[in-house]
Amino acid sequence: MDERPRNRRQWSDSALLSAIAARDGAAFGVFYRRHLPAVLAFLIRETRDPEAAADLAAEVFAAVLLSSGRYQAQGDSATPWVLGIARNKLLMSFRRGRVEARARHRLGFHAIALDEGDLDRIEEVARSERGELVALVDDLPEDERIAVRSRVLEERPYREIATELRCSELVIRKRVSRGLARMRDQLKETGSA
Amino acid sequence: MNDYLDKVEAQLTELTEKGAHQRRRVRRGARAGAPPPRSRGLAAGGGGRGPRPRRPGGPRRLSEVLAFLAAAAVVAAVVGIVLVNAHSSGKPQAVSSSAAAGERSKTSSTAATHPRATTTTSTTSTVAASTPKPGQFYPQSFTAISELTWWVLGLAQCPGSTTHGPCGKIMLTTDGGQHFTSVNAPSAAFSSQPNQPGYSQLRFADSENGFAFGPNLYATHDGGQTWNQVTIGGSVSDLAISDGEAYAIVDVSGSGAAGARLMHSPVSADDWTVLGAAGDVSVGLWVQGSNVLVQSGVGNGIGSDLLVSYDSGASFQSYPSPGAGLGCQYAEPEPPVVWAHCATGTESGVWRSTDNGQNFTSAEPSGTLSLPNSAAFAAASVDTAVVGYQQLYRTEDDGNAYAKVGPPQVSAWAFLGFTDDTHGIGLGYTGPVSALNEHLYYTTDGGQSYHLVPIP
Repeated sequence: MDERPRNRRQWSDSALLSAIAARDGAAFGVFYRRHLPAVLAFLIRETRDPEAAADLAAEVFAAVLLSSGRYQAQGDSATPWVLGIARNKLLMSFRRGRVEARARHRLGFHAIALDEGDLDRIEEVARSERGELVALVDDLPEDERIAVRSRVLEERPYREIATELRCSELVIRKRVSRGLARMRDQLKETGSA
Repeated sequence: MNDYLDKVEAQLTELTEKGAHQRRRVRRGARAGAPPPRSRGLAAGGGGRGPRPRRPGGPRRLSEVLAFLAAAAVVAAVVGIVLVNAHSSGKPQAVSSSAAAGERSKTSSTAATHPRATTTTSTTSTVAASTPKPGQFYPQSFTAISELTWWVLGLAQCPGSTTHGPCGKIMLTTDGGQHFTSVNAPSAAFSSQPNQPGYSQLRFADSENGFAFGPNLYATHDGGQTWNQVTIGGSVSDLAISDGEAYAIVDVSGSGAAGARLMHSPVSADDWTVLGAAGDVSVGLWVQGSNVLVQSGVGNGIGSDLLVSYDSGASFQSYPSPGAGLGCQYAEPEPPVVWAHCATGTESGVWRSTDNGQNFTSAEPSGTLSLPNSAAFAAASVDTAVVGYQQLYRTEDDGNAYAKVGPPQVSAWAFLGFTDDTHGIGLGYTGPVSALNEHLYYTTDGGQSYHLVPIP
């Protein structure tokens, strides 16, 4: 018997991804809206181009759909996983000089044109979300901020971070976990999650 | 629901409900057990490329934006993440023996006679600012043609200098690491970053023919006495050797072409030509007899397909890669078993195929390994593999269970490889991850234990 709440917004990322893998479109919608701000903020920050960021965000979530069946929960949040995909897509785009589109092509995703209104909204969202995300990270206690940046965005090994900061890996893991939880709580409080 | 972001959501939601993400697997499953079609090749550069959404009234050239951003150091980081796992390997070539070449054929490979030329990429450590100590040798890349004959490319102080460095140095052993002698290295810089000219990796096909590469290509045909730079039209990111043929992933994007291409040449001649049937390729090169495996680069980056050739690259079949658009490292210790170690976002995973890569299943118990994308991986045999970053894990039952192995003094592993079922090497760091903390380790029991190999 399924004991999950009826409201998918209360589902964990892991539960949503399992449902997505089983063709639950509503679950995809919840997951998309939950993670779009962070993905968009990350991509806007890196590209400083709302058109490229929007294009890449679509590719990231297409890849999420393709990979949903293989997701293995490593914690409460799939944010590191999604941002990892975003980073890979972004950097492969850098490498190729073109925006990644492979996942969308594989799914049969039809191209969607961007108009000026879209760009205005994306820029607006990007400004707010980017500012919010940056503020959220910057508002973290210093030890958590460094740990989150090093592990989640730079994907450095725990041991390497621990060596640099002269503490144990366990301490770094706890700082990352606490930092992500704090950011997630902040996003929920502001209604973005 | 009427702006771009909402339309994306709506379309992906619809695709979710239609099961678009599952169709590929169904088709793949339907092919299981069927003999691989041999005649269908991929059109060069074909597939995966389609119109990109543009806003009306003045699309910007994203390539300009991205090209500018490509200069960011983060690119080097991700390329490192991908390439550090993208080692390739060819089977060892038992010194110009035609009989030995026969043994290397796909059909005659057996567990006892499939020695593989184990090779490694350089590490991604930044070494430019590091100066080797006088008389010290810091291994960075390894290649072998048998369990006894290896070459190790490492960093050393530049000849005649007490302050400059590092320079590349090549050491050869013919007795399994008991004694080493120095071999001439190319007269070029050791490349410590992907975009620095020079070389960073080493492959030998036999006692005469070898290649130093990454990003430039250098070849020797006299056992390293002399080296010549080979003009190949791009940057070489990987190179593998089998059956007297060298295969290379060459990024020709800098010359205006679409992306990386697969090229090949007889090992005894510098006659490189494009294997057009592969189209765009990216990472994960592995060659074994006439089998060639490489991950596609169709589209705009690392493709989601594994390209497999059974005829030395003349034609390729396309199968879904476990990586789903992220980089994989492949190993085919004995056909039809193929191991794959792939990035999945923030962590890597291990998969295994028993039908030449057509279908992959997870080869790690859920939640057991939890390794970063930069973890090292090597397959010793069809059922045994070793994987790890800080801690090594070894399976001998097709990936159903893993046991912790490895020497405790190693803080992280940069590379793992096997020359046969039992003999293999690892490049591991002691202390902080730095090129000057890298050491060579040897295993003679299929990865159950590793022992430090001192190199003078």
